[in-house]
Amino acid sequence: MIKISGYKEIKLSINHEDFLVLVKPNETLLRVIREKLGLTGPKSGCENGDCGACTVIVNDKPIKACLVLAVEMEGKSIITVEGLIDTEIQQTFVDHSGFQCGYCTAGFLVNSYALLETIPNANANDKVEWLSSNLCRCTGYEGIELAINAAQDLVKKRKEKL
Amino acid sequence: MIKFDFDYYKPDTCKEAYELMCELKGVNLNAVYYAGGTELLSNFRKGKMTVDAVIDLKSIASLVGIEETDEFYIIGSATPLNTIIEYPGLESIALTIGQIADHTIRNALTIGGNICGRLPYREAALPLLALNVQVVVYDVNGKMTIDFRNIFDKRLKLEKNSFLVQIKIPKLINFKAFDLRNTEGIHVDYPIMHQYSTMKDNELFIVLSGYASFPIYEVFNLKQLKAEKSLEDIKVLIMNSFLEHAKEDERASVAYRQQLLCVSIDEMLHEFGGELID
Repeated sequence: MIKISGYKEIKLSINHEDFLVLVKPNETLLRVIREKLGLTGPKSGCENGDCGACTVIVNDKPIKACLVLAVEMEGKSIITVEGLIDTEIQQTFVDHSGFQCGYCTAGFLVNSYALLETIPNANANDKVEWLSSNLCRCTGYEGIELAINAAQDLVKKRKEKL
Repeated sequence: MIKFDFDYYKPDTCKEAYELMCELKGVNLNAVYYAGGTELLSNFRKGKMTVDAVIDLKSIASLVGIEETDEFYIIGSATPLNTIIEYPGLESIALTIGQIADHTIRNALTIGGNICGRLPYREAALPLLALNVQVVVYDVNGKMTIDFRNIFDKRLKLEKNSFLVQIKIPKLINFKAFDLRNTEGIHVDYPIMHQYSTMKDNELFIVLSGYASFPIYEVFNLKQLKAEKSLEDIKVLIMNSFLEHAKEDERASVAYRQQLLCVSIDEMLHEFGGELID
């Protein structure tokens, strides 16, 4: 049985790189990623699981980093928005103005990436179902939708080549 | 930010978890079982709840994932909702639990957490009550299998320090289901009223979440319902069973909830009606 009381050094695998970090059980993954590892892509919005700005991918599934403890994450593969460099979704968000103030963008990018990697042929219902987990207070949803649709074409082409 | 410290335990067996809970409670420490953590961490951060220790159940093999026997799908209580929704053959409960929270949250939120949590909705319990499934709990005597309806009364009533281990969903079950969920606005929200009904064997089962301060249900004998003169008479009989339980809160009045129920019962009778009138 594992017991953690007070500080403990744990190993987190983030964007395919291992980090040793000293954490306490009461620290959420979001706080550790941002404040101890300096990866400020995942944003602190509501910290209540509502806004999705903190979304990261854990073992291929999007989760809200504000609602999970860092100590639970040892041995798991975590991807943050910093790990999406040179991906299709990054480029299409630029091409189609998929952001306004930008605060929600990291969460939308990460969740969209997870969706298209999981369901490359996602239909409109799938997109609504997955992306309803994220809020854009600027209401920039039209650009986000265009960006996801454009990325989907590129992801499908990439996967067809494999 | 969670402003208080707590210890984190991750036992490997049900016995370890149970004995640890007894030990911690025995020295007056406030410990909670922990699975997805979505509700607990939110309450910790808001200061609505403080604990000395969390006991994470996710390393206990029988609590995580889905197994099959000839008769049952056996779901570990610490299984995330999306794992259940995506599992072939579990469509009987997927429709209902697929409306809880949002897609990303459902990758963490577990079925046991939804049923045993403090939030009053407990929508994952609706199909389990309707199908009268069996559940496995771990208590002082070890694992024990019980009918869900026998231990769910407003909330899951477990013995001190015990916990939910598994849920057994029967295979090859033939029934008609009706599901209608009303929220204040967008669909990602708590329900003002979520009605789930089934008609199977000789019973019409109706369970409501969000309507009262806790999930409530009634079982109607189909033969008795068929003895009523018309669908309108059946509706009055059903409505009378639930009317007084409607709650008032900042999201909806008693009258609004009663009207929602009226509309929902109408829709259910429209779907089931042909089999209720001889």
